[in-house]
Amino acid sequence: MLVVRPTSLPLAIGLALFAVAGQAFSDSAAPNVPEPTPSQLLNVPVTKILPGDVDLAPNIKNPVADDSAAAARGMKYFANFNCVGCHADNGGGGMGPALSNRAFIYGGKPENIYLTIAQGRPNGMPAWGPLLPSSVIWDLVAYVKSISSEPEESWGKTTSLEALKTEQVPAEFQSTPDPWKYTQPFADGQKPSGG
Amino acid sequence: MSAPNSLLVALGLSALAVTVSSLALAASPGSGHDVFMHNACFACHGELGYGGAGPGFRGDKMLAADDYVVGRILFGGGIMPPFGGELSDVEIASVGTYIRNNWGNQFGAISPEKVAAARQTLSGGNAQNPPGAQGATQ
Amino acid sequence: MTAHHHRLSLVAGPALALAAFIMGAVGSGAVLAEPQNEQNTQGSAQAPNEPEATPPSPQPPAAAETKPPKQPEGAHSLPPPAAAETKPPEQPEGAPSPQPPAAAETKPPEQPEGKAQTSGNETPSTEKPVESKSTASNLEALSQDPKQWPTAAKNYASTRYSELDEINSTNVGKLQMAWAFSLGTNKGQEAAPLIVDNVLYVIGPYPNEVFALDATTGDLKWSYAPKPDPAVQGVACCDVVTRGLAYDEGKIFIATLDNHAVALDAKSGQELWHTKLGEISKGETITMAPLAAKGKIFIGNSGGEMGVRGWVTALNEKDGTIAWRAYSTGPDKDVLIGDDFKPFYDSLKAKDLGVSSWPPDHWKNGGGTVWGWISYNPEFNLIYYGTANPGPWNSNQRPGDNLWTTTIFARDADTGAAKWAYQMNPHDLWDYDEINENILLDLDIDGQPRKVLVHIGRNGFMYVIDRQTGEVLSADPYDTVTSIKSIDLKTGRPVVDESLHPDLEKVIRNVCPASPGAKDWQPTAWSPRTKLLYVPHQHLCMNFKTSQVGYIAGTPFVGATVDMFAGPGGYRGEFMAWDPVAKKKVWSIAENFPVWSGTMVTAGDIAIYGTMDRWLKAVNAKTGEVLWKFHAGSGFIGQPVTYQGSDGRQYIAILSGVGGWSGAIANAEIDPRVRNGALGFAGANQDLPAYTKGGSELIVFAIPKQAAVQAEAAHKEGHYAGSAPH
Repeated sequence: MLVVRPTSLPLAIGLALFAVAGQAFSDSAAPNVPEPTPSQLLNVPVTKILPGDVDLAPNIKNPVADDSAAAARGMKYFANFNCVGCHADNGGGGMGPALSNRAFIYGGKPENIYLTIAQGRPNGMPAWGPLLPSSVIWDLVAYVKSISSEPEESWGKTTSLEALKTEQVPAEFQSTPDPWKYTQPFADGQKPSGG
Repeated sequence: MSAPNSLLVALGLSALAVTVSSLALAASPGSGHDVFMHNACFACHGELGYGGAGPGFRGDKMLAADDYVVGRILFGGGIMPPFGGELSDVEIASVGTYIRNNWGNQFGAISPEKVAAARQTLSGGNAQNPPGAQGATQ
Repeated sequence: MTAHHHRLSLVAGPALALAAFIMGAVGSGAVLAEPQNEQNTQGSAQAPNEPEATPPSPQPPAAAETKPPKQPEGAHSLPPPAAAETKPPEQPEGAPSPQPPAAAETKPPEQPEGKAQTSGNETPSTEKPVESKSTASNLEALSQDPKQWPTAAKNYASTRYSELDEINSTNVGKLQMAWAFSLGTNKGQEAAPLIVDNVLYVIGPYPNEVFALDATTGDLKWSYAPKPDPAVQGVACCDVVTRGLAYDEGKIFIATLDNHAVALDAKSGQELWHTKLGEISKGETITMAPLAAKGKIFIGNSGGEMGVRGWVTALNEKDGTIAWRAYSTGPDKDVLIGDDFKPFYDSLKAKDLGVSSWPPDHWKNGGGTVWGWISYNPEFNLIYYGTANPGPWNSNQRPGDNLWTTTIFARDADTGAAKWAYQMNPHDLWDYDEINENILLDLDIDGQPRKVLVHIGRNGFMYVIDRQTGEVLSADPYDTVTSIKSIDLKTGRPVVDESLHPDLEKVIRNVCPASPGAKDWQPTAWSPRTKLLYVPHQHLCMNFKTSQVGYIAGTPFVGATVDMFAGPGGYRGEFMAWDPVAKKKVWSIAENFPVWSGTMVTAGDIAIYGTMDRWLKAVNAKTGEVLWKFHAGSGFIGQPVTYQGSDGRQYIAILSGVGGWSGAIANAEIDPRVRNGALGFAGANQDLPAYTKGGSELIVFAIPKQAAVQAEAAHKEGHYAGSAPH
């Protein structure tokens, strides 16, 4: 018996939805920053090695970078589409890697994060592009950039009982798209303060 | 059956199958569930009717107003995109019937004629507040 | 097939296939079936979703060669194990008949006429093989041989007890590493190695490579690399672990993380068959150690955090076809509940409870997966196992008892028909899966001998249950419990503390035990000498907040914010000895981190366990005194086993490599500063990365030869009285 996976959309329907939905959602995006074109997105590298050592990568900005409400919208979508199930509240990580620090496996620029969400990745990230309008994904990018802005101290990371000094106020006590603003002393696995 | 006859039958069958299937592609998939899945409705409304980015449909009394349901699907509203350009009357009727009668709901069917009529009588301006619903917002 | 039909299908096939593809893609009507050699399905009952089996390879697997190992003097004189006799697998002919296959007949291996010891296929026993009631199997005989460890729990009763006493409480201080072998993948190492006839078999976490080693020297004999799909790493809730493999009749059986059951020839490592059992696009995985019994392999799925519908599947060992599948939710016909079903408690007697105890349709994604331990009772021909949590964790979305999640089932091994069931946590509020091991014991309860199973509950209660009827004889807390006040023995139902009920969006503080329970999957051992259970477990509480969650296949279906931390007293783990008849803790050792490793206990009166901060410990089984410890390369979450090598010495083997739900923070990119990571475990183990990283080492220990000679002499003088074979 031939088994057809139900997630294989005919390409035409998918692209049409993408276009139509993008139109519907673009009302909520900041009007002045243009969305990147498909060919610009296609040319975003996932590696630092560019032949000729010449930077021909497209210069892309998150279309909602100047929209102060984007991260809050992205936080809602982060729960709505179950990102929180794999990446945890505030991006702590779990089944998926942490999004609460500046290390990104597939690149930390907005366009890298956009493509990771849209295309999925071979080691388990699902592909959301055929499903979600681009404006939703850009809002998610804004949220991920917000929660990953850890207080940066060094280029690498030292781990020791002494080096682990602070933790975030946990998500059961507060809900914010900017969790690094709220920290408390590291609890070493004991009950957190505020508990 | 002789060999050449069976060959003709085979070709005829496959031609028929292709015709039927292309009709199928043009008209609609077989069920409201398929429309629901293949047009990404599930991404916001969830496959079990518990919602997500969009409202859940389990026991959702707003679904009782069929004009509301049809209007929303045709014209969108809030963060919901419009599907009037994408989906045929048959498909919209099919998926509208599906969400109104699945997950324990029993709100009755929607006919393609209803959808066709709604395209005429409900304009984009009315989509935010179609008759029968109260200030529908996300 | 006639020539006509064949020609027809040649022409029409591709066209029909194309049409079928298009029709299937838009979902209308029936998919036209293309004639294929399709080997699959249908034992007596339901068609499981999309299983596929490949035909077994045609060459006969080589029989396991057995030579009687050197018997050290004074060792218990059991007959050598019956030799494994294997026949070539049947050739498939199109679709196989749907009747259940003949149960693997177990009889002593035939002695070929006229041949003595030259066939190379079998070793004639010098004594009559062990016979038990009616269906003595080779695996049972191997389990009773102290030199072997042929199944993860050592035996079908799941005691994890070994008769070997060369290593004992007076000499274990001299234990040293004999050799080590690195599996090469630094994810959580939960598997129990198996040892059969001086070959050690072990399986690693994803990508689930299998290794066969000389159990005495550590030389690598073969390895087998399956091809699981890398995307499966994104749907495995709790690290990419596996809890082990199975052996029977010269074959090794594994389950890959991405839902493939595979049979290998134990001697050569060649693949014999593989069968796909589930779909990663639905969030399904397999992490449990399969069980082999009565010619079948029993495998259960994982994915209760992904809205997966739980099941246990029985495959036929000889060819990987599916004999039966029992779902954990849905109508009785899917759950294999029929006329034989006699639950003890009235609340479990109505029809189709697996539908009616859920909101409409929700049972289809209800959880109840079977990712833990299965025990087997040959006398009744019953398998016993427990099912996992209902989905989502947000209980407000699923009013009802949510049967048959968190339920212990007794099922007929041949048909899967349920004999009894007992639901431990109706309408579970806290992710208290009940997949923990069921230890089958004959105990004296109130002066009467009873055939029971002991189940160390995730919910913090120690259960003793009549294994013939499912009646709960006792249920007593063995750790701090605030979520449940008591278990009502009249109804079998927990009395929950309503003040802690997780109403939607309300922060509930200090729920004990936390979601991994007072004990998770890490298995217990039982000593018939001390009559004590040896229980590795954790001591954690949590804050918990539910939220509405939508179901999207392939993504998590949880709806909870969790934050775990150490329980009262500040320690996070414990290794304890518990008396199930007196219903009390006898001694315990507190540990900084959860004790997430398994354990074993021996006739030498030692128990072995490992800590997440890299210590392997041997303790006096009677007193709990730590007699020996070893600082390994990585924390322990694996299962210790023991066996006798071809040199007559006793060895202890365990995998070192931290991870699992509890320890993934040390081997994956999880942020210790964000408490809610890893479904809340990041909060409890946020300092673990300061102690260990991941690892992949199998370590084998023995007492150096000189000390062993001394021990043997002491044994001959009668210092250690061995107990009777069990």
